[in-house]
Amino acid sequence: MLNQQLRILLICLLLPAAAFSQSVDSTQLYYQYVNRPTEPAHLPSGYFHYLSTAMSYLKSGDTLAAIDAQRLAVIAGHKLGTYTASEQEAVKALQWLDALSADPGIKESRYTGFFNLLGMIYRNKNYFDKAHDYYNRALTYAENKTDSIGLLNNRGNIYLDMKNYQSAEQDFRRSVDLSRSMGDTLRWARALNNLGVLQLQQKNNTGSANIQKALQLREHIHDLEGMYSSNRHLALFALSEKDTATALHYTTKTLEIARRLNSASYTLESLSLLMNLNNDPLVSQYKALTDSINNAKQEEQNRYAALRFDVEKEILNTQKAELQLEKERSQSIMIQIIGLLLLLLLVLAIVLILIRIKHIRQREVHKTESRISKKVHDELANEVYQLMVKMQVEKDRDEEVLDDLEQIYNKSRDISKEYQALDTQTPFDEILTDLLLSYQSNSVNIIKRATTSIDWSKVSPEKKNAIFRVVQELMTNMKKHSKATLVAITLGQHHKKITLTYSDNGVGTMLKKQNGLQNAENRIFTLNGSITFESEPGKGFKAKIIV
Amino acid sequence: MFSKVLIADDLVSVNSGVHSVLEPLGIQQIDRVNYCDDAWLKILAAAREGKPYELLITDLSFKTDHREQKIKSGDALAIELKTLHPDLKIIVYTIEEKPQLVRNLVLKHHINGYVCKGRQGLQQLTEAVEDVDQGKTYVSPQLVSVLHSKSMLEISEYDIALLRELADGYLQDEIAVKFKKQGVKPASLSAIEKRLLTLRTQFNAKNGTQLIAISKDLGLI
Repeated sequence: MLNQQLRILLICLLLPAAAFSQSVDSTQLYYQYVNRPTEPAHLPSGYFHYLSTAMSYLKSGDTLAAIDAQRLAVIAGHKLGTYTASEQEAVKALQWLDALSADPGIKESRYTGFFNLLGMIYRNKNYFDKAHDYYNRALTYAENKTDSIGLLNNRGNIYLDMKNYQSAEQDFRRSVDLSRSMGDTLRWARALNNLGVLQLQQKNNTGSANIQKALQLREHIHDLEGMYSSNRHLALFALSEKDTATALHYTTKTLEIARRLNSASYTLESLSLLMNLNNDPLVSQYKALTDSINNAKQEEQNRYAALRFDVEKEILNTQKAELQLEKERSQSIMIQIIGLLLLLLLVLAIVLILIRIKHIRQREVHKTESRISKKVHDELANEVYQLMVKMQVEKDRDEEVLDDLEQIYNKSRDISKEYQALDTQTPFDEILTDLLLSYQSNSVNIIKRATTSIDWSKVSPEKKNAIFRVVQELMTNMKKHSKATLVAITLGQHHKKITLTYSDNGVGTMLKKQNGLQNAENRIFTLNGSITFESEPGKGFKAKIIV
Repeated sequence: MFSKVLIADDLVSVNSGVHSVLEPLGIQQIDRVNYCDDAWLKILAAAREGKPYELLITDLSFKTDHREQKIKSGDALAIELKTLHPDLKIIVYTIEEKPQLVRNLVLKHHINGYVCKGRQGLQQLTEAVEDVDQGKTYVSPQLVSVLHSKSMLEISEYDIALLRELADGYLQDEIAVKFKKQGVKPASLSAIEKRLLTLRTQFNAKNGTQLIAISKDLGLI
């Protein structure tokens, strides 16, 4: 409920500001709001205007403009009394400034400004040491004398707060000297006035003379506000000295100036001073009452400003959060889209790979089929035909026909054996041994050696099949061509790779790859293995397979 | 001689070929079936009637046709019958020569005969029937090696170590001492001599020197 009311209040408050912000010279308007506020709402409006301006400058990449806007925001914040928030914003601006690559002169003037502001903020937060520190730093950056004069003034005030009157006096004096030498009467008078006030505080009556000198200077340049201030201090001093006549003289002057300035607050202050000179109890009572009412009014105004500040801050935070949320939402949408695209790509890749694998498989099947067909044609059909011819020509030779038939029968059985699927029930080692045994004869001895015991159950069926076929191919070649009497097969395992070496003591060859060995090679390559042959006529045949 | 024999083979011509071989042996009753299930039923029925078959001669692979079979192959039939009727003699008559199959049936399931179909097939079958009748086990000569010579093939790491020592120039008695020290067994001189002799036979080597030369050529050491 309360929140809603606040919002309505805020909308009412913001409407005029929103209307102004549309106009061409809104920049100037907000500048006025910050530097010469006339309404309690002006400072918060200015504060938030410059904060968001700074943000948008930052986004568009104009850091320097952002820093300048931020500075105005900090000035407004400081005036509002929101010291902690202002401090944070100032520190932020300093970070941008640190990262900014620009002309040193441009940067230095900004450093001076922010250090000065931080000094002021810390002074208000009663961190005098820190404030002192920042004024010092500001002074090291201060390029022109005008800046230095103001900073010296500020530092003098800090020394005053720290009750270091000597240093304060020193700073004020330097400020006096500097402004005098520059012929800057306005600042000279202000410095003199400050010096005088300090001296009076320390019961040094030359202070009065300094203030009077400042007054003269101010009168000379018609600095009405300055004149008002000097007269007021002189009046207060006279009052403290119980010199009613002099006090009355200066107070009357302040009233006169206040009227010329057309400033209600100054007029009120002067009248209040005048009343202090009057001993009438009714007047005293009246004064006490108006003072308390004024105080109450002032407090009310302050509260209003603070409330407005809080509400705007809330709105800003909400906007920020919404912006953040929006950003996150769009980010998550982006991530989703990217993820989806990646997924699609992945699926596409997998499909392509699967198609490719299928093609390769089909090609393998075709190759195998044509190989079998060729074998059946070359080895069986031809011989059956020859036998048929023989039987037509020569009759009554049963024994010979039977011999030929047996040969054909054996060949067909061999073809069947060669393409038979590998038995998965029997341990592979046994299958391999049996394969080798089937080539063992009176003329050929086969030696099998295992360097390590191999757990064949952990080797993939494809690998086992490839190893089996390769050994079969090698042994068939051996039987057909090598005239070997001794064959050694060595098996080993290194990590996940199986190594198999074959060597015989046969006649060797010129290493022209026969069709069978080519098949063996292909089988091994498909499984990312390697196969090397080594042979020379008369030196036997060696092969090494790693798969 | 057997008096009651059953032949199971899906090829009628083979079936009658077997029949023609058995008749001269003086067997009184020879029955023929073409399916495993039929063989199974016939044998069980005969046993129940108190006139059991004494011998079954069966093929291993049966072609599948329109008749759904419970028992799909001859090896399954043989194994089941052997466990049910250990007294029934069984001879497998087949084209299959797979060593592990032969070992499995003969050594593990105590099938009495394993005969390969081939040029000498029918003649071998006659011998098989006669042998089995006398209580022997018959396996076709080309398959006999499958049952026994397996260990002949493999050489062990011990053999390799032995060959290495020889290649390094050590004498047999020196190797014996070395093996004893290293805890390699067997380390006795006689065992080493015996082993080297076996290796020489296996490698067709006339003497130790040739044995080492061959081992080197084959890349074993």
